[in-house]
Amino acid sequence: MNRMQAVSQMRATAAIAFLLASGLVVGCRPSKMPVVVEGPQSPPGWEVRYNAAAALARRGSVRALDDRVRDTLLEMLDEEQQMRNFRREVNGRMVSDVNSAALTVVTTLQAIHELHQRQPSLDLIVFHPAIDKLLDSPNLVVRTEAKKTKQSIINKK
Amino acid sequence: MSHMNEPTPPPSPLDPNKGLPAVVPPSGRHIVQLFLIPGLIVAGAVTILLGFSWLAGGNRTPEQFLKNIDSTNADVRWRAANDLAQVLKRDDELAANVDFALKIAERFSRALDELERAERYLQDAGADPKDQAESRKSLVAQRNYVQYLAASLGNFSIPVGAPLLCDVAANGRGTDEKLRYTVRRGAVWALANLGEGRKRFNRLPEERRAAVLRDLEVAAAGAGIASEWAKVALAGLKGESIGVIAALAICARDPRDIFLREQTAHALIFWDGTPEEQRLAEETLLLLVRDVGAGHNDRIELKDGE
Repeated sequence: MNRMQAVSQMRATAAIAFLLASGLVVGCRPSKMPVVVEGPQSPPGWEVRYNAAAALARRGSVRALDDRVRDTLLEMLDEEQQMRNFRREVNGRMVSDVNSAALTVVTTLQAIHELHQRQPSLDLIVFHPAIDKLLDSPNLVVRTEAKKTKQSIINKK
Repeated sequence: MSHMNEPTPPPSPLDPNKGLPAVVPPSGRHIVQLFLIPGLIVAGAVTILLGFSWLAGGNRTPEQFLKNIDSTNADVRWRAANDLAQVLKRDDELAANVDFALKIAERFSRALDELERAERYLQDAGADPKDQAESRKSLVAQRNYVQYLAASLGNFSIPVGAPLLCDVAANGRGTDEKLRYTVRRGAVWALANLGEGRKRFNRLPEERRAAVLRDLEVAAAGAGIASEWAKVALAGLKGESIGVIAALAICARDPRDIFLREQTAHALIFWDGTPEEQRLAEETLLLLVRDVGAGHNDRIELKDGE
């Protein structure tokens, strides 16, 4: 990695950190009331499966498109499912951990972006509908990252 | 013309009828007020800040860290190891210091032996609540020390600590399950950081990288276990196998700790290795993608572990 790339990566990291620090809060501001969880969590072991699928994508493995891995990545891009997975108890009610849910979606988008960078010839069309849906996310950070990923993957800019 | 004898009042600068006050050249007093006093305040603030950073920086030399880490006070030891883990993240020079990294690895090796000894003391402490409490306190302090030394080894940009961390990640230490998994998790996390640290090494100036490699070659030509660690670090920096992916593959197959497997999947992002190791990493991740959540699911309980 040359100096320019390092600086570019540092800027990107700083931008993401800033967005996570400010945007997640701002993005969630319209709904000040905690979101009560409705529906089941993913089957047990989802934390492990998520990290493994993201790791395969970030390593640039072509196996990231194997059925099981692809389905896991698509589940990770499902913002509503992440709101069900990340939960905490507040005043005796289970509510969504909005920030953790958003962080999972954002890191998945970044993993897909990295997969594309490492394997530009890989057809990632299977992720397009999920990414398109995230363009309308109520969360600013998710919307921003989805837009960035779409630009890099779908439009191949 | 009586008014000719009355004294003329001085023009008031606030009176709008009198117009603007007369322009006069700045006096020495004005210059002092505008420049010298603010200048002195700023100089004072800068001096205080420099003083603080000098005082704080005094504790950040390798010698000072080693002195605190070798303290007979267990609390001073683990706090020094914790500070070191934080400083290494930011200090590129310290993070590539071969001699210092080898000394920290030696202390980590000793600390692991002492951890097992501390656990045995607790088991042999008998029924006396006072002995129990003291032995437990020592064990917790030693466990913290081991955890932070592992984190420190992971925050170097040279993989001197890889052999020890791989051993701890795969095998753990102690007989108590919580203790074993706590140290294993710490080692896996450190291995993830160590993998990322190699990128940091590659960002160092070319002359600095060459100097680090020379230092490692000198250490590798020596005797004892430190020379073995130096050889492994050299191999790792050249992209050869140093056993990290094999150790992580063992952790991935552990049926008892979900969080360990979760961290293992994360750590595998940062290690490429040889073509064979890349295949092993991929197979391991494909196994983890089918994880069904066997084992502990209460990460808080294991994190507290005291």
